[in-house]
Amino acid sequence: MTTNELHKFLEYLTQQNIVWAPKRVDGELVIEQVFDPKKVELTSELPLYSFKRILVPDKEVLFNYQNSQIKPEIKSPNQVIFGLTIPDLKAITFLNQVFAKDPYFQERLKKSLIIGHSLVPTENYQFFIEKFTEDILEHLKFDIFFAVRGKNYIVYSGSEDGQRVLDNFGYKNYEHVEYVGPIREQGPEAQMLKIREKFYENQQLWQDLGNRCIECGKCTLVCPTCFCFDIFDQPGLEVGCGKRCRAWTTCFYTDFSEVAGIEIDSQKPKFLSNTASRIRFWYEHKFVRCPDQFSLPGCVGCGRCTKVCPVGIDIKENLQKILKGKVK
Amino acid sequence: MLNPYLPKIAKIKKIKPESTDAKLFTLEFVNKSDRADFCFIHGQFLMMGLIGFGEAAFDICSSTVKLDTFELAVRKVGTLTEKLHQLKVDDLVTIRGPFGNGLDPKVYKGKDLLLIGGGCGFITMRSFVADYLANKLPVNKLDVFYGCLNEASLFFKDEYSRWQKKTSLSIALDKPSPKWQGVKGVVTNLFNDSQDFSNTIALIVGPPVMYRFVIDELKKRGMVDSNIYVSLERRMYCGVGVCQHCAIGPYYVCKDGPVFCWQQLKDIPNAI
Repeated sequence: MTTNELHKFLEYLTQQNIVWAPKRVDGELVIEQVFDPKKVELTSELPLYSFKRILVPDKEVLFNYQNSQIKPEIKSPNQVIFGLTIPDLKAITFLNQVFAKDPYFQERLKKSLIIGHSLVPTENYQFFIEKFTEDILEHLKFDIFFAVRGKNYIVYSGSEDGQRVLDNFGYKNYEHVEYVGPIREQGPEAQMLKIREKFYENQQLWQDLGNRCIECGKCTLVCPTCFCFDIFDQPGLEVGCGKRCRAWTTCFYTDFSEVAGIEIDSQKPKFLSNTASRIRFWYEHKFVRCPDQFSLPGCVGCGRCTKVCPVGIDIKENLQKILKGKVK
Repeated sequence: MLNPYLPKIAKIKKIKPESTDAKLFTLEFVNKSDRADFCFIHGQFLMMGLIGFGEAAFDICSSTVKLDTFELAVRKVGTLTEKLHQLKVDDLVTIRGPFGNGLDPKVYKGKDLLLIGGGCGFITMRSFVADYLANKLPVNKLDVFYGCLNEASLFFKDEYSRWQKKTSLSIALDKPSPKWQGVKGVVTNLFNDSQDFSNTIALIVGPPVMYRFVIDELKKRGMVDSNIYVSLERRMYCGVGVCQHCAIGPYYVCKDGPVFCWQQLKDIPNAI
């Protein structure tokens, strides 16, 4: 596909759907809804905010209630998420495992056309980032993928939806890749297994990070794989009416692990009682629980958390320290 | 696709005050098919909620074999439980679950089972006792240790005489009235040197501070880590191992627990 054809394809998509794509707002690349296809930037730069809120909204309704009548609200608009880099496609692939049995996420994914490209972020985060090769495509969730070759694109479809859209647009020269699941034939990532094995060795690391982290939770907001949530009821104006909602939280909030009980120093009992235990919990989720549960790291190496951290906590440095093991 | 967030509706059939700040609710699913589907293992829990006020986790404290109704004991400790205490017979609550892993009967089949409950943790033990009294618990012998603050906060006290016909129930009260004839102090005061735990499985449920002390006493009497089970409390929202609130190291209390073998947990920071 030529650049010209790609622009026409984007125009075609924006005519019929809500299209989300990377564009620049006040100098910062972000994924936003686009109305003018010319504003879309296909670049190796990672948008600061990922696609996350489109598939895992910051707040969503699980069901509406009226007294004891419960009506689930499972719905999604038809939408296109265009221009995702490989780390973000990996994040979608990961979230698809996490929310495999979640009807809300699955409905949204079904109604979303995921379109990726092969430009790899230039910043070298060393962990879990990889260059594009054709054989990784069968392990990524996408509908259409553009492999950049000079000024042209090699086009792949990754689903029947992707094929249908390309056919309807009138482009036939694409190759189909069948999604075979997130894990490669040679098994889970070696780096992930090494980090998992050594995770509990360096106890000093958590004390040090606990002294630096100010628990702002920015890392959890920009992380494309962070998905912790609260569930709460939001009463409506009429008697007995309301919504049960699910909304993002962060494990850095002090109430995250709070339980009922007798307050000590006007603090409710909690199991993650200090910053060190909470930041370890964040890493534990990504590098212990996710590998154990899904054989996947809960990190795609995008480095967004490092970029936004106001006190300069660098995930790459910390993973290196975990790998070094016990501090003598 | 099954929606794990949609609760079932249950009707309150009976409310019995249990202690100064606790009530026992007898519940029945409104839908016949929900009644027919309901089954659980000792130690599993339900998410009980009240429309408009959210949900929380409660251990089921009734029989696993007599399932037409089920029972949850609720201590008034927060907004939801306060609202639950205001409910009357025939009011409706929401139920999700049962969730998690209870204590698998294979673990204690043919052995002695020692249940050690502290405070609200004692609630869990009632479902074992109910089945034991009906000859439906495949154990050699059942012993129950209960550590509680005082007489007024004891759970299920009008059932003890019935229990004690078949089981031994030992109670220690931390701050009893002068009239109390039994053991004083914490639950570990119920241990003595004549106890033999060589063929015993223990389940401990109680406040975090209790576990270490009880485990020490059990190990002093020859019990190995792999025969010690603990049931843990955590903040929970989803109940299906996603929301992360109840995670401990590599585990989720809602999915891998709430009953864990101590062997699994002993090296994990912040577990107890």
